[in-house]
Amino acid sequence: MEILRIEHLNKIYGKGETAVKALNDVSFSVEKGQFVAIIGPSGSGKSTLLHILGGVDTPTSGKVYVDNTDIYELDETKLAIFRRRQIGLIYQFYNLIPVLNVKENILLPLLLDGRKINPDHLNEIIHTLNLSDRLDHLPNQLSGGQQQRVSIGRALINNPALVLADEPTGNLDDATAWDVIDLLKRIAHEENKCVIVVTHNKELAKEADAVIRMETHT
Amino acid sequence: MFRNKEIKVFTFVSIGVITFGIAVCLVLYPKAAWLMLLFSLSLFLSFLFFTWRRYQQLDRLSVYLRCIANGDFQLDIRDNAEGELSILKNEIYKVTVTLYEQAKLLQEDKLFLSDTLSDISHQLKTPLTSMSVMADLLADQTLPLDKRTEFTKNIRQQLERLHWLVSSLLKISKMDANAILLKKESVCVKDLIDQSVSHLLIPMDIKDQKLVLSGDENASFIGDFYWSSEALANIVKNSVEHTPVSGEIKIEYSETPIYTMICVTDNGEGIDRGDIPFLFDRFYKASNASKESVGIGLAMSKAIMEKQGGSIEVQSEIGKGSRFIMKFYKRVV
Repeated sequence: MEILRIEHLNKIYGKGETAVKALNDVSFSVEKGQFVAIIGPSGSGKSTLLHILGGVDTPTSGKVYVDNTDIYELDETKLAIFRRRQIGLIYQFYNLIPVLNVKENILLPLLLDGRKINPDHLNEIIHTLNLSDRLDHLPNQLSGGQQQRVSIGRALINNPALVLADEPTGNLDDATAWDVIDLLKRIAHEENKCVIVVTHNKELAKEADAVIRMETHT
Repeated sequence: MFRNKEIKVFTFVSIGVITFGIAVCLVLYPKAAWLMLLFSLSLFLSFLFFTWRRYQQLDRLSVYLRCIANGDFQLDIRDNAEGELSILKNEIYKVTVTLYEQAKLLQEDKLFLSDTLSDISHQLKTPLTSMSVMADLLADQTLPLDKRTEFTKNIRQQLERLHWLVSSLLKISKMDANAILLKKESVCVKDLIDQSVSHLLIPMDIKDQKLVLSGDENASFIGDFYWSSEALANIVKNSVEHTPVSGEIKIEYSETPIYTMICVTDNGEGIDRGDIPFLFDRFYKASNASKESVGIGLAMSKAIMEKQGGSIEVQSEIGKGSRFIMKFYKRVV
């Protein structure tokens, strides 16, 4: 089942002489349950693409359909709510809220939605991520790998169909990086979610079901 | 809307409060009474209006669910707004999508089962037919002794083949049904290899093949000893069968922080590039497969490895040999 469709995406930063074309006529589609890697050298537009997929940055032209919804037809508020409920975002530098503990960081999207917590769902996520004994800790009391697992938990708590990860292992050592990629792959296959990972690590890209390669043309 | 008990109760209570209010107003401030009546009624009616609108939305949800029940899964009722109603629509949508996908998976499972059953039946027919023919021939009273011996030997071979087929099928179907509980204990790789090759030493000896073992004696992994030895045995068996007389089979093993690896390399006839993508598929017979091969040994090895969170891959070149790499991954989570 197709979950993501990009049509003729273009992104230009700046104007006139200083204009930089970050994305040039990008089109592709991804199915649910696929673990996709986007690779390419620095500056090839990988993060730009991911941010546009996540609704965090707007394209200059082109369409992005997430679960058959044209996300750039939505107004800002609706897009924010769409993103909160349908998309999970994982960043290279975790972006956890430093004053909230692990449990609160994971529950953040739910709490923003004003929803009641389903304890079973939360416990399942915490158990899968092996964070059961760290629930009250603050982010600065956790290792890199643990912080990344918290941000994965946050991305999953709302049960999104699409999970986007921007260099999730960039800040981790090899063994931990492998665990994170393995976890993301299992999430894609076992929970039938579409997981898209931007990485510059070709070894990790080998684990993907499909690889999108970005190139720079001058 | 007025069918709802709570709306009826609310209406009565409101009318009661308004009437009481008007009565008090008539006593204390008669001139304000009409104004009071007007405002109270406006408030009451506007509340009824917004409630009616909300119930319309709930009604639309019911219509949506009825469409889903009829099998029409195309609708999307999400509206990306704040509030409980929007969240409800979101959750209902997600549930219906899950149901739809489960229904599809069930269909695919049914098809897979039907295909597997027909494969199995085909596999069983071949040796049975052969044995049937042999039995017919043996019924001939005038058959010379050497022919009798030959046909009996043939029947015995077919029976062995059937036996192997049936027991492999049973194992693999138990695995499919998740009926097998794989143990999670520490497995010493060296012991595992010794166990796996133990009943292959004689066939190797007959073919004058050399077995070379090398690796870290302390290498180990967390898994199931019995099933892992089955997986390894099938790989080594495959190598023995496809390596000629005086060939060499090398088993190397090592442990890294990420996985424990067992590599089975032979210098046999190799596997054709076209066969490699399908090698681990059930009942797949490579172009150079022996007549006796059923195509289930490698499939079972793959299933066993994957059930333990490991992987198996093959590298091969025609004429040079093949290398099977089994990896048992370590898990933090």
